Parts: sequence; structure tokens; C-alpha cells
Amino acid sequence: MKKFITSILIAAAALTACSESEQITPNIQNNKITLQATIDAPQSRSVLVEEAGKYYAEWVAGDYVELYEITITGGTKKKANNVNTTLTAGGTSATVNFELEAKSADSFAYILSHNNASINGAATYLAFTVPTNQAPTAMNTYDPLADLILSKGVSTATQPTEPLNFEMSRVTALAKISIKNLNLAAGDAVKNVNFACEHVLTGKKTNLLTDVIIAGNDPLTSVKDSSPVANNVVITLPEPQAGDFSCYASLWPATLAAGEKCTVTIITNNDGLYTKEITLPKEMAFTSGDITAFTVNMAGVPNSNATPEQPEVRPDYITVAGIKWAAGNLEYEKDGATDTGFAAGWRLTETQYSYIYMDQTGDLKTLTDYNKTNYFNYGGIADPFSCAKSSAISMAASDPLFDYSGKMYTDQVCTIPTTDFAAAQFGDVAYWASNGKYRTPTAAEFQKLYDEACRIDATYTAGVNTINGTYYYNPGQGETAGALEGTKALTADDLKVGIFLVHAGRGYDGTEYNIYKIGSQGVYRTATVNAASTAEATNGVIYRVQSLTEGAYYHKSYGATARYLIRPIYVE
Amino acid sequence: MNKYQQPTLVELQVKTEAGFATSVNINAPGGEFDYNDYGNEL
Repeated sequence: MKKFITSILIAAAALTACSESEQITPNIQNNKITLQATIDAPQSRSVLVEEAGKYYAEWVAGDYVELYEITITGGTKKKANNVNTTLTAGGTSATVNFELEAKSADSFAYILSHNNASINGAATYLAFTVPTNQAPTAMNTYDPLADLILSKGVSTATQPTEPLNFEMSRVTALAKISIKNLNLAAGDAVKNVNFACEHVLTGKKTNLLTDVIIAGNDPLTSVKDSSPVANNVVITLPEPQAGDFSCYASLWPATLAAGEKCTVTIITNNDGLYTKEITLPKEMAFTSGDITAFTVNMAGVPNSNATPEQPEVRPDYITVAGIKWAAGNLEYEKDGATDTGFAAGWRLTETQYSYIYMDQTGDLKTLTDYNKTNYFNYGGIADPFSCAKSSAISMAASDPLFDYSGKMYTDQVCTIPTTDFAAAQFGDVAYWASNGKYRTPTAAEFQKLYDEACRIDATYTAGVNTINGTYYYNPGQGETAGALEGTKALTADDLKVGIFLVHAGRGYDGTEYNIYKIGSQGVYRTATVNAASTAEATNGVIYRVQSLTEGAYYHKSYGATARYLIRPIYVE
Repeated sequence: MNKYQQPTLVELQVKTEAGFATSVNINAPGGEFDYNDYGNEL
């Protein structure tokens, strides 16, 4: 069989004049004759060009052109040749070569494609894959490898001895995806955009060659899904984007219905992940050879990979007047969170300014509610940890005050001490609840705070709430301990160096649930009782935060069930 | 729109060692894209 050697040299000059005629320059070497043709590049393909609001495609180096030859003998088709070549020159010119081997057959058919479609040996189908992962060569164009341009079939009785005319069409559709208002972290930039819907957008599809292409019909007439196909496209941006931007994807044609769910997912250089679920308000069509442009507003879409902002670690204590005060009040919530090492449901309040908001009518009306969350009766312990001294206890007359701070007992008059947290029933509830990490202040310690710290009426504003209280801090240079006039608006930094005893109000006893004086008064329990008292068996010392002129003082309503706050002291 | 109607003429000439020539005219696409703005911001 005689062998035909066919060589073609194409030089594509992208920016030549807009003539549709070509310059052919013969070049004879080693019995091969190559010819050079000039392609009117702006009417070509593979790089998108916008000119005056209109979009065109141009050739680029790397564009892939493939010629398929099919023989038909006795009605049987067979792929005879498929010869391909790549445009090797960049931008304005390119070179390709074809070689066709001589064949005998009843007739021939030819198909030309841009990009590497494939035909099976029996020439029953042509397949092409639109890659799911696409890498545009520039922000204003699409991935050339995702672009498919395909000719209608051309049939001849013999191998060509006469001019052939191929009519070509772009099979793939373009999407122009604009992203706006993405809330990127400083210094971060977008590297990937993923667009997913309920239709096949990328992957492999096949056509029926006999019925469609060879017959000279539109190859999309009978296109069908092959494997694998995907409902999404992932665009890797050629340049990371920090502001609003647009990018292009090449897709299989699809008509997305109104109501169809789509998802846009954005990945950033710093592994940020932004996902927006979209329900299409109306039909969106991606059509062969057309651009469909849409905009996704990412405003308000959070970075789901963002590391949650870590709250500042609450210090174990804040030293004021030489005493290590806890940075929150003792708190109990049934089935609530528990601080590390504490008894179940016990903790320090999250902040110094935390307290329950209740008005005089009382939001917590039932004992169940009351026992679940409150700062005043410590979880509804039937007989809270404290000591009820009485005249039955013989105490030295010179030492009428009895401190049980950091101590635990098995009897209510606190004569039988214990270090067994499980056995303890009376004594210091703060010590017990924190497993010995904290204790309730004594009256003397509160008095020391009163005497040695500066104190001032203060507010702290957290969100929409302004919390009242009294602020204590160590006197600075030139300052003298004592009460200061005015009201100080506290900052977060103030709360790191001073203690803020909130005006959370008070209750009277464990049977009445209303809290009084909220916002104007706070009453803090001490671990000091009057051991010598006979008339007031439960007489003890409280520290009331209301007037700046009050120190620690006895109060007959100290009783075990009185609902007072506790600001513990750190145990060394 | 029929994309095949867009005329971008690329002419390839083919010659063989036997000396006869075949010219192949590729009527390629690549003309203007239809630009469809979806309109609704998603």
C-alpha cells in the first residue's frame, strides 16, 4: 500500500490584520512539503478576549488539534487514523504537523477537534472529558484544556484529493463566576472556587458518531453521560484573589431549573473555607459557545475553618490588698458546666460581672427553677455549708469570732472537723465545691480589702447590658486607699487588675425566691460567725457592697440559707 | 444560535510526496460569544 506522507505546518499569527485570507508559504525538506498558514487569531479560540464588551477566543500555544480518519468498508466503520498535534508556538504563532497513512476503503470520514477527544476502534462513539479541576491561565479566561471545539463530520469517497471544509463549533459552555463581599481574614486570599449544582457540569460524555457527527449533525444532539461525571467544577485561580473577582469555568451545557440547589465553596491560601448554599431563583442555562455570567454575594458567610476565638483564660486569682481574689463569684447550676476540679455543677462565674438578671417580680418563681440556676443559695443544698454556732459551744470570750474559711465539718456547730470532702456536711462551701482550690473570705479579709484598696462605684458595659458594682484596686503611685468619688466605667483591662463586686442583689432566705436590690446592692458572705452570740444563733458577718462607707459587719440574717454571693479566695 | 455559522477561516494545504495537493478548509468557530447575564445576585 502506498504510503502518503502529509505534513502541515500551521503558524498562527494572533495579532495580524483581520483578514480571512491566509498566506501560504511552501517549504520543501526531505520529500516533505510543509506549508505555512496564517490564522486570523482574534477569530480563533482558547483564550478569552474582551474587546469593547464583546468576547472572543484566541489560539494559544498548547492548543491541541486532532484529525480523525474513519474508514467505512462494507458498511463497517473503523478508526483508521487519528493524528494530533499541539500548537507549539505561543501567543501569536504556532506550528502543527499531521501525517496520514494511506488506506483503502469504500469511503472515508473525517472529524477535526480541538483538544483530545477520542474515538473508539469501531468508530461508534467520540468521547471527551471536561476536567472537573480547571486551571485557567489567567483571571480573564478559562482553562484551555477544558475547551472543546468539534467539527461536523466530512465524508469522502476516497482519501482527500480535493479541498475539505470543516465546520467547527464550540461544544462547551462558559460560566463567568463573580464573587463579591467575601469576608477574608487579613492577609488571606482565595485560591479555589468550587461551583456545584444538581446537574452534570463536568466529566466525560460521549456522542454517537455514525448518527450524529458523521452525518454532519450537531454532536450535542445525542450526547450522553459517561463515567466519571461530576456535578461540580473546581477552579484553581491563576493568581490568589483578596478582593471581589471574577473567574471562568468551562462546562458541559446544562439548564439548571429554578429552585435547583447550588453550592459555592471557596478555599483560601490559609485554609479558609467559605460555603454558600444557593437556591436558584430562576432558570440558569449554560449553552454551548455562550458565556453565562452570575454573581455570588458572600457577605455574611463565615469561614467554617476559622479557629474559634479563644476566650481569655480566666486567671486563678487577682491580687488586691495582698489577697488573691477569684476572678468570679462562686456559682452553681444544676446539670450545668463544672470548672475543672470542682464538684459537679459548681464553677466560678465566667466573668467578674456575671450575674442573673431578675426583676422584683422574679423570673425564677419556682423552687425547681431556683435550684437550677442562681448565685444565692448554692444549688439548693438543703442545709448549705456554713456553721451555725450557738451558746452551746464554749468559745473563748476573747475570741468571739469564729472563722471556718477553708475548713469542713461533719456537724452543724462545726466542732468535728474533717478533711474528707465526701464526708463533709458543714463549713466552707467554696472550699468544698472547689475541692480545696478556693475558700470563702473571712470578715478580716474583707475588712483588709476595704482598708487597703481604692474602691469606687463602677459600671461595666457588656453588649447591651450595663452592670453596676463596686470596683477595688491597688492604689497606684500617689493614690491613697479608700473611697473615691464618681463612677468609673470599667474596661476589660480594669477587670484584669482589680476586682469588681457586682450589685447582683440579695435574697432573704431559702424559701423566698425574689431577689431584691438588683443593680444597687450586693451582699457577700464571709466565713466568719459570732461564736459567742446566744441571741442570734446564726449571727455572722457579711460584706455589703452598696455604700462605699460600709465595711464588713454583723448581720442577723447571715443564716445558713441566706442568699448571698461568695467571692472566693485562692488557696495557696 | 448555531455556532457553526461563525466563519473563522483557517486554510490548511496538504501536499503528499506524490505531488498532488489537498487543501483543507477549516471553518472554525471562535467568533463572538453570546454573553448572558443571569441578573439575579445569588
